[in-house]
Amino acid sequence: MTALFVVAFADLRRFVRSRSVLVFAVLAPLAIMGAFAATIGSAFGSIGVPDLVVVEQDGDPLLGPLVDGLRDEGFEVLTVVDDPDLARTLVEDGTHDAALLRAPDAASDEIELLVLGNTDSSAELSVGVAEVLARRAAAAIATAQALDALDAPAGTTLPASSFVVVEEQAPARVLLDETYFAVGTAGFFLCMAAVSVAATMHEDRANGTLGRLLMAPVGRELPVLAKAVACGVVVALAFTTLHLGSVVFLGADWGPIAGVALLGGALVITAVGQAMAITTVAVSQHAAGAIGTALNTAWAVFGGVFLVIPRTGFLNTLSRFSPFRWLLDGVGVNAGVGFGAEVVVHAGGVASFGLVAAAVAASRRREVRAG
Amino acid sequence: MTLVVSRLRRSFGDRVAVDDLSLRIDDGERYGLLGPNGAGKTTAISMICGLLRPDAGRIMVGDREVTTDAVEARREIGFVPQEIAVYGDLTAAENLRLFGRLHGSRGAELDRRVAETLELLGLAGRAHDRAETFSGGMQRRLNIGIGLLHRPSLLVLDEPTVGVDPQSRNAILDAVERLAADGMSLLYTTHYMEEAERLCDRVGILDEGVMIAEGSRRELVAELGQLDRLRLSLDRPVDEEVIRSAPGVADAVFDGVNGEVSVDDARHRLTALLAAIADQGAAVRSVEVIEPDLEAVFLHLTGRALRDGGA
Ligand SMILES: Nc1ncnc2c1ncn2[C@@H]1O[C@H](COP(=O)(O)OP(=O)(O)OP(=O)(O)O)[C@@H](O)[C@H]1O
Ligand SMILES: [Mg+2]
Repeated sequence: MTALFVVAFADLRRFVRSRSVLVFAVLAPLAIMGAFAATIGSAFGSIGVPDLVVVEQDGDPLLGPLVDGLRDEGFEVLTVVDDPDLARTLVEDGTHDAALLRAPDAASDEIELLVLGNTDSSAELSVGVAEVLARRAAAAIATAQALDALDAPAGTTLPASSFVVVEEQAPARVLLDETYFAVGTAGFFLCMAAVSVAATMHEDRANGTLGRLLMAPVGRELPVLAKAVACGVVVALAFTTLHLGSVVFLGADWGPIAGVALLGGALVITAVGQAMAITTVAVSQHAAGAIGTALNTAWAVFGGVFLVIPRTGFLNTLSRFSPFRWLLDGVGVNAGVGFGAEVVVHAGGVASFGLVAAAVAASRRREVRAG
Repeated sequence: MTLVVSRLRRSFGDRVAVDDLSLRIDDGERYGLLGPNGAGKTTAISMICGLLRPDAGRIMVGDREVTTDAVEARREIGFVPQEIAVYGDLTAAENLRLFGRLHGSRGAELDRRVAETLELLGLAGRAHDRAETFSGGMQRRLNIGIGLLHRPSLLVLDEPTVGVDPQSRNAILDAVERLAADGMSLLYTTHYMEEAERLCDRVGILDEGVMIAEGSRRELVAELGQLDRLRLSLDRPVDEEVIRSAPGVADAVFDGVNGEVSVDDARHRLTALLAAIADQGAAVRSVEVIEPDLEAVFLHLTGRALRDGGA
């Protein structure tokens, strides 16, 4: 056990001295997060026609005219569903900006119309627009009803005569602002940095120090384990720095610290696991670098690090095969809803990639020659 | 510590690098493994140190089998690889401390050993400089220091003086000699015959993976059937016939005061020979002993010079 930390510590000392790890694991991702925030991130702020979902339950005589009214107002991206829970989900996961539905227990003489908006700051504008439009449509319907009432035969029960528009904010479960790119960039760079750290194993092999470690009265697995420990420490420190850096400099919101720590821990497991698997499978440092870049770039593209992945269809399914998607969603839930079981599930999703990779690494044993 | 290697074999693909190698090094014995490039020295040593799995054969260090009890066997072995294997971005002292700790040494004992080793190899003044800033010879010395810091009972050195200037080389050989004098067993590979002659009690000559001869230098030379020669310079002429009849002398040719005597064992016969000269009233001005060396043995056994371009 002591031997493990002696070797890992020597490695860390070397990384500190070489400084390239610092650049790769901390400075580069911070710079790229900043660049994302300054360019693509701000594009989220400008949103045109809000994307609404309206709940029209069977036999509800009131929302029908509202939907027609909204369509007349020019809402083309208007989805009508009959399940309030589905509407809520569609808003929470960012598929739609806002939902219009009947409040469940409104007083019988009023119709309470709920505008359910996404809390995400970039959606705020569209929620406002939706609310105004909803009020206008509601007023139009009320007027029509009043006119209808004048013509109604005596004894007919009139529908409620007034609309009340209530606003409620649904917690966003998906990151749509600079936090999104901060989280994605951190995940991607930490995995890349982990590979560059772990692949120094090949350098150690080439310069003979690995053979020397194996000449000490220690187990054969010690160099690999020590490298994994050193790699884990580098990734954990870099993650902490990137988290704090993105919060302080970019105003990112990752949610409660417990969730961030758990997801960060899961990211460390996956970063180290894939890095060790790649290192043990690759025949050289170069090969390890190439495989690491290929794997992590693929994970980044399919997992939505560079481009937001649609929430439905094939790409959505494919993105589940990237730890970065689980990380982005996990931080999304953590920031939107708070720390809870769902965050734990997402952390498990992130870590599962690392555990599979660690199994690959453990199954690889290479012979080391002295000279 | 006794090392017993029996019927060791290892191939790389079709190439047999070490073929049926057996050798024994007794406690405190200094053994040289000689051979040209590609003879299989490093391969053999890697297997002995448990870094490379043999295809066949057995290696015992003391009463431990290297292939099955590697961790314990390695406690006894100090290994100095042929290629310099130090962490360039750590200082000399940090390199030594790292490997010292892995061998279980710590605290004041570790400090003392690190200081001693730096002193022994003449690196004390550069203890806190990074190894990558060292000259090649200094890196070689550090390379050796790492192998002997934990005072192993068997020190294995794989061509430790390659590419080193004569001064560094002397420092290295001195250090090794001093350690061997303390009772460490030594396994030393080289293709410098003169190093083997200076350091080793016994040598094995390896060629293309096969041990082609083994014994003390004297035994090997005797096998070669060549005699030592004594080149003498006297203050007055002597009778050749009398010298020829001295014990061990095969031939003597004098031209006035200068002559050459062929003898079976120059070092042992020299006293008797000088006495025979003194008996004739002559004094010796100078004497030079020319022994057939391992270089000649190798040439004799393989028909090839040990190193391209000769020694
Ligand atoms: N890893 C390897 N893969 C393939 N062939 C190898 C390997 N290691 C050694 N060999 C071959 O085994 C033979 C013996 O090599 P080895 O390194 O043991 O020689 P050596 O006696 O140490 O030579 P040198 O004096 O040059 O160090 C050579 O023919 C070499 O090409
Ligand atoms: Mg060699």
